[in-house]
Amino acid sequence: MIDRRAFLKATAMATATAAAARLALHDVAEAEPRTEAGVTWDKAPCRFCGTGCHVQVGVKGGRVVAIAGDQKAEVNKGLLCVKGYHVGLALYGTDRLTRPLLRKNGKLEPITWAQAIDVIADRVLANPAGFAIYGSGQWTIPEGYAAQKLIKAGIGNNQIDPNARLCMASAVTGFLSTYGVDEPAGCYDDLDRCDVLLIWGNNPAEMHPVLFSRVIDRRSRGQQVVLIDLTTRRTRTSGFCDRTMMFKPHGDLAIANGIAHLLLERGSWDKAFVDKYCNFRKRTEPPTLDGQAMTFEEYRRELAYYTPAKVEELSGVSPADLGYLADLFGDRKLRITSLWCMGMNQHTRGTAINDLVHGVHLLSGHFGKPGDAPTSLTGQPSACGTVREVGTVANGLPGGLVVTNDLHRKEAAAIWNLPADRISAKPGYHTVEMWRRFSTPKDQGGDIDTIWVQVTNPARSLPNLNTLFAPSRKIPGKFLIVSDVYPTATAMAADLVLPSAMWVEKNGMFGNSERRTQQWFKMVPPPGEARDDCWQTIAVARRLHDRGHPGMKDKDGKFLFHVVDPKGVPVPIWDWARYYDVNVDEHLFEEYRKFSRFKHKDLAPYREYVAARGLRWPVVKQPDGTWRETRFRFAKADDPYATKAEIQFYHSVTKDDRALIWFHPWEAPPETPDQEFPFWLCTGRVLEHWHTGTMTMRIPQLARAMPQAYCEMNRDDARKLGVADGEVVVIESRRGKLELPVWLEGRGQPPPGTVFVPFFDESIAINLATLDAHDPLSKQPDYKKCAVRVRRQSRP
Amino acid sequence: MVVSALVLLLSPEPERRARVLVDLAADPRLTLGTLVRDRLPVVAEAASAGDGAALCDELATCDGVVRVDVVAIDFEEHA
Repeated sequence: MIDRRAFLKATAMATATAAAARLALHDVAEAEPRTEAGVTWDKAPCRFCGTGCHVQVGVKGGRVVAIAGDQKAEVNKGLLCVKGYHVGLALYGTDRLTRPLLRKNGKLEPITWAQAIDVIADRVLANPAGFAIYGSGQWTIPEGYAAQKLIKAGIGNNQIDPNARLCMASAVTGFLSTYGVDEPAGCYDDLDRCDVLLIWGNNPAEMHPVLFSRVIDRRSRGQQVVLIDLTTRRTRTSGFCDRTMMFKPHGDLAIANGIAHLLLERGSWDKAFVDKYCNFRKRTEPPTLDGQAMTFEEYRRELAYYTPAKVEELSGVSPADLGYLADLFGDRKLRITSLWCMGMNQHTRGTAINDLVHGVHLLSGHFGKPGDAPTSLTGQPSACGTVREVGTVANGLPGGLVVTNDLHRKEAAAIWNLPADRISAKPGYHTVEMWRRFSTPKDQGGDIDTIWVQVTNPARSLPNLNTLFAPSRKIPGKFLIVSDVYPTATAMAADLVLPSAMWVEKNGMFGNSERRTQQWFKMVPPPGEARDDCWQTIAVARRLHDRGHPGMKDKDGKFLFHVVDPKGVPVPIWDWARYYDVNVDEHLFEEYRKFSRFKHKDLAPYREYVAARGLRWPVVKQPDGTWRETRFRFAKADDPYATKAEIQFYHSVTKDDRALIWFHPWEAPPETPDQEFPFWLCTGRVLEHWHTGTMTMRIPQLARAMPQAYCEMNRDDARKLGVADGEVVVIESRRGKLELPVWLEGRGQPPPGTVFVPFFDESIAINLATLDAHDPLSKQPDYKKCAVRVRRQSRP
Repeated sequence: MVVSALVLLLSPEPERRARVLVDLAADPRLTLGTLVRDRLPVVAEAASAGDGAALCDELATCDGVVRVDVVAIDFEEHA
C-alpha cells in the first residue's frame, strides 16, 4: 500500500520527468494530472504579472492545495517563477477582509452589504459628476467591462481610470502614434526566433522570468542569441547579457536617435521597406498623437545632430557601442526583437521613446517577420485585456474606441442600446489629475469628491503621495471607497471598505502582454462575506436603478446589466444569492466582444476560451467553423486583415496603410540631480514580490526571501557617505522622505550617483519621494528618475 | 512537508555534470529521476515551503547546475 508521501513524490516525479522530456526533446508529452482522491485540477492564468503563465490549480475540500505549471500552456510550457508556484498561497493570508466596513467616528466598523451598497449609491446620487472609479490591470475583463459600463453608459461622467496609467500608458500612445492602433504586432514567439534580443531599460530576469528563461533556454540548446542590455543600473538580467550598455537616465532618446543617425549615414537603412510602408512625422505644440508630416530629408536633417559623440555626451553610451547597435540593425539577415517595460514607459518622454524604438525597427526593416519585432511587456495580468482592450481609461470605450469620436460613441450607444446622447464626449480625468482633484478642496477646484478603488493600492503606488493621496484623507467631504482582499494601506485609509473575492474564488478572464485572452472558472469559495468585484459594481448599478437614476436603464427601459438565463428568464444578478445562477462573465464577455471588431481586435466566443490556454487576437472564424488566432499582426503571412501587401498597417494614422517613423529630440528630464539633491532615484520591483506586496508579502516564504525594501547604492557613494552595508539611510526628495537600510553589491548595482529602491514594501513608501511629472500624451508619471539626497541616519 | 517537482538544467561539461550528479544523489532531501539529455527531473522534500524555496536557491548555486525550474509544488499541509 503506497502512503501519501510516496504518492505525492511519485506524482511529482512524473510531472518533473514529463517537463524534463519536453524541455530537452521539445516533446509534446503532457503530464497526467495528479489523481489523488479528492483533489480536482483546473486551469487558470497566474494572478501576478503580465506574462500570462497558466497554472494548474489543485483544489481539495474547498481550498487550493497545490499549484503546477500548466504543460499545455504555450506561454510557460509548464514552468513557473517563484511567485507563480506560490500563487495559491496568496489566498490564505491570515488577515483577509471578510466583512464590509464603514468608518464611523474615525474607526472602521462592520456593516451589512446592503448598507454598504446604499452608502455608495448615496454618494453617486449626491454628486454624480464628482464620483470616480479607479481600477487596475488586475481587474478581470468582465469586472473592468462592468465598471466601464457603469461609468460611461450609466453615470455618464467618464470618470474612470486605472493604475495601468502608471505602468504602460506610454506604450499605448507609442503604438497608437506609430501604427494607429494599440498593442504589439508580435508575440512571445519572437523570443524563440530572434537572433538578437535588445532589452531597453528592462529587467526580465526578475520581472518576467519565465519569458526570459525561454531565451536562456535557447542558448542552453546551443542556439546563438545575442542579448544586449541597455540599462541605467546593472541587474540580474545584465549577468546573462553579451553586452551591457549603461546609459544616463533619459539617455535612451539619444541612443535611439543615434542608431537612426548611423543607419542613415551608412546607408544601411531599409529603403525598400520605408518606401513601401512608412511615413515620417514630427511633433507639434501642443503634442498630439497625429503630429505633423515631415519629409525624409527633414528627418535626416533632424538626426544629423545625433552623432556618436553627441550621443555619448547625452547618454554615456560610447561611439563603439552605438556603432555596434547600428551594425546589428543594419544587418538585414538578423532578426531583432526589442523588449521593454517600465523603463521606457515610466518616463516624462515615454511616448517619444516608444515612438523612437518603433522607428528604429521600421527604418531598418526589422519588422513583420517572426523574431523581428518591437515588443512591450506589461506588469499586470490584464493591463492589456482589461485596460487597453476594454478601454477602462478616462477617454476610452471598449475595443479601442474613444469617447471623443462621434462615430465611436454612436457605435457604443448602439451596442449598449442607449439614447444617442447618453455617452459624454468629454474625457474624464487621467489618474494623476483624478487624484490631484480628490486631494484638493472643492472650493479650490477639487471637483472629485468620491473615488471607488478596486483591485489596487494607490496609497502606495501613486507618485508624490504627499500631494496626490495624503491630503484627501484630511479634507472634509472627500470619501474613499476601497474594494480589496487585504487591509492594504489604501483600505486602511478608506471611509468604506468592501471585502472582495480573489482570483480562483471567482470566474475570470485576463488578457496578457501578447494579446492572449485567457479564461478560468471559480474553484473555491471566497472567505466570509467577500464577494466578486463585478457583483459589487452591478449591485451598485441596480441600487441606483431602483432609486431612480435615469442612466441605469437602456432606451427600452431595461436595466443596464439585464441578464437572462438560457430559457430567456431574467436573472436578478444583483442579488448575491443569484449571482452564480448564470455565468455573468460569459454574458458580459459576449456583449463586450461585439466591440472588438471595430479595430480588428476580434475575440472568439467565450466558450472557445474555456477550452484553450488563451487565444491571441484577432481571433477569426474559419470556413470550417474553427477559430484561428493571430501571432503576427500586420503581416500578410499570418494576419487575416493584412490583405493588400506583405505588410499592411491597416489602422494607419495617415489612412494609407503606412506606419509612422517619428523624430523626437532628446530633452532634459524635469528634475536632475544638483548640489542640494545630488542622486538619481530609480524605483522598481524585485523577483519575489509583486507590485506593492499586498499579496506576496503575505506569502511567508516570499516575505522571508525578501522581507524589506532597501536602498541599493554604489559602494563608492556609500564610502563617501560613511554608510556601511545594512545601515539605515534617509532618502529625501523635494516631495518627501523616508528611512531604509542600504544594500551594497546586492541584487542590482547602480552606478555612482544613482540609488534604487523597490516599491513592494508597504512599510517603506518610496513614493513619498517620487515625482508626479508625466508624459504630455500618455499622462504616465516618471518613477525611474528624480533627484534625491541621501544621508546616514543619525545614531542616537 | 512540501513536495516540489523540479527540473535541473545541468552543465554540458561531462566532469562537472558527473560531479554534481554524485552530490545531488547524496542529498537526502532529493530524489533524482532519469536524466533526459541535459535535464534532470528531481523531487525535493522540505519541512516547509520556505525551506523548499531555500533548497531551490541552494541547488541553483551548485557547480554543475545551470538553472533550476520549478514545475509543481504541493503545499496542502500549509494551505
